[in-house]
Amino acid sequence: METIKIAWRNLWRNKRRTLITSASVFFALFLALLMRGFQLGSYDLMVYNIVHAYSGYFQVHANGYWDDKIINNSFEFTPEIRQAVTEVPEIDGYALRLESFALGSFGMQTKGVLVTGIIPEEENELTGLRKKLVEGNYLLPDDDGALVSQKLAKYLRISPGDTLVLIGQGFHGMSAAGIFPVRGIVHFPSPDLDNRMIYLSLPASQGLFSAENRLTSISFNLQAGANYEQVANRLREKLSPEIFEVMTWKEMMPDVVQQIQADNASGLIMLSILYMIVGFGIFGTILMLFSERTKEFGMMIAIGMQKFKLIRVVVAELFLVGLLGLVAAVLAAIPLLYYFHIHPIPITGEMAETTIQMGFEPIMPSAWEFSYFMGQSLTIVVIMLVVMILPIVKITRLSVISALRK
Amino acid sequence: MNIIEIRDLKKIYNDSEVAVHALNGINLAFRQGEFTAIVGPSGSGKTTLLNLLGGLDMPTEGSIRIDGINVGELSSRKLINFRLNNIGFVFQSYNLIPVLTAFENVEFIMSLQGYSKEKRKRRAIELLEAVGLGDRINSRPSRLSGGQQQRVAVARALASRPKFILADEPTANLDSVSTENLLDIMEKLNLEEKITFIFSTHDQRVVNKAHRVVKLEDGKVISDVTTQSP
Repeated sequence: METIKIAWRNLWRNKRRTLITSASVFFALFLALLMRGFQLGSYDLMVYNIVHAYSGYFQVHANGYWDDKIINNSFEFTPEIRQAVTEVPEIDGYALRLESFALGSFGMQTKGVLVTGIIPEEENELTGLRKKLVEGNYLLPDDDGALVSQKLAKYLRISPGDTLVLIGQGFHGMSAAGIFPVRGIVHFPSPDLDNRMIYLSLPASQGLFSAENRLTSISFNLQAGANYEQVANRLREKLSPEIFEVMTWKEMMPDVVQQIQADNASGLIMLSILYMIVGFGIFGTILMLFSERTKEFGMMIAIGMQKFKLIRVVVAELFLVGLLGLVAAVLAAIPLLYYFHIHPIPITGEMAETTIQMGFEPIMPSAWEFSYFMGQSLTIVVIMLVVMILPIVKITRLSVISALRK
Repeated sequence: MNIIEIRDLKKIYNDSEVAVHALNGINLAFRQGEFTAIVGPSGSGKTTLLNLLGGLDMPTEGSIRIDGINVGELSSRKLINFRLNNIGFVFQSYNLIPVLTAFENVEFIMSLQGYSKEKRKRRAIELLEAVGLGDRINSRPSRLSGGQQQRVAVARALASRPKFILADEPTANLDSVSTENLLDIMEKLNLEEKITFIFSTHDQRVVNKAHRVVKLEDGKVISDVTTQSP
């Protein structure tokens, strides 16, 4: 405690030196927190968009469906499955789906489409489908009509009130054909989805594909803060692995994971460069500080201060200077990061268009997680600890005579 | 009684291509209460001798015994402790800790010795008053004149109650008035408190005040004259 008191007193007896050293830590951490905050925030948003656009955090399929997406790989939605799902409390909601490919036709236009049978309200809760409606009305629970994605509707030249013809293959080779009045047009930011999506109510789709009470997937939404991998594992334990597969969004979309990983790697490289610059900055400051005080240190040892005591005071001084910069940086970054977490920065221009084409909202929010602040702060502490080796070594090797001659 | 005994002391510096023989077999003894000036031209070995006496440097050959203890045989840690409890230093360029006040500079050495806050405070004020700086105890070195800083250095040297004080050209950076003041203080402390002073100097005024003058040349003692016994 005495050491800390002496160190604290010494720091404020040379305010300029203290502020310069603290400032180097402050700017390093402040910039790192902002840079990494926006990067992690973008990933969070990307994951949120992906999960809430269609996939959910994880899905249950019949075993083998993901590798061979045909309606014959569908499963029956039994009371046992419903029971297993209700036994996992972190599950906030789920959407039952029956998906298959078919030909969609109106007038002279025909195109391959993805027909998805849904329970309209459940689907809306998971993916916010109702908000994507740009024309007409949303589906009712037992609706016999269809929702058509905007680009597909444009291709087919179909509008609400027109009748869509669907022809395909049903369960176990049954022929699937039906006519469905178009209730509404939905818009997806992703061009891929916008070009091929048809939504029917679940009973209507099961009728079309002769797949009574059958599903191809159940997509799950989770309560805030739940760990999707842990929850998926818990459900996995409750379902027979021979009959079902439980896949997380990461397993279903490895390309997105790779994209995040690649971007994250470049972010980490940038961060490492920043930390290296900062490390050398702090190192330089401490080197200068040591050189400036060599005579003082030599004199202290000459009159009787043990080297280990001097090291203790100097390390405490550096630690306090670092702590000062660290606390100031965290305090300065918190309101900014919180503000941009609540009010993300809108992206404009070409970048915004690219973002929209990728199916994402053109905004840049910041991350808001305690672990992230801790991680960055710990990195700075580690840098400080590494840099502290310098004065420790220098004082240990200090020659009193040479120091006093300075 | 001798408090310091120097036998066949040699110091050779091998830092450059040519070995420099700074001290060439010095034999000296100092008694309690002496007021000794070490004189000689530049390069004669005055500072080297003081550094060895203070345990700041190690001899190449020979020994220095202080109160019977051979300082050359002490480990680095014991030597620092030995300096703390036995030797006071006054440097040519004062060497006060710039961030501390005059009071804190004097108190610092006693805190290293583990004295209580109360004792430290009492003695630091007492010493600063003794050197005529009772009204400047809260001033930092940068706010003091050279003479005042050197008086703080003397007070600091005395704070640890050392067996003797080594002063390397203590008046070299002082004007004549400050030199006179400092010498009066040192002489008074020597006479009244029987504190042993050994100082190197070029200054004739300092030499005139000394009770013993040891003259060095080329690392050897060429004369040793005592004018007044302690």
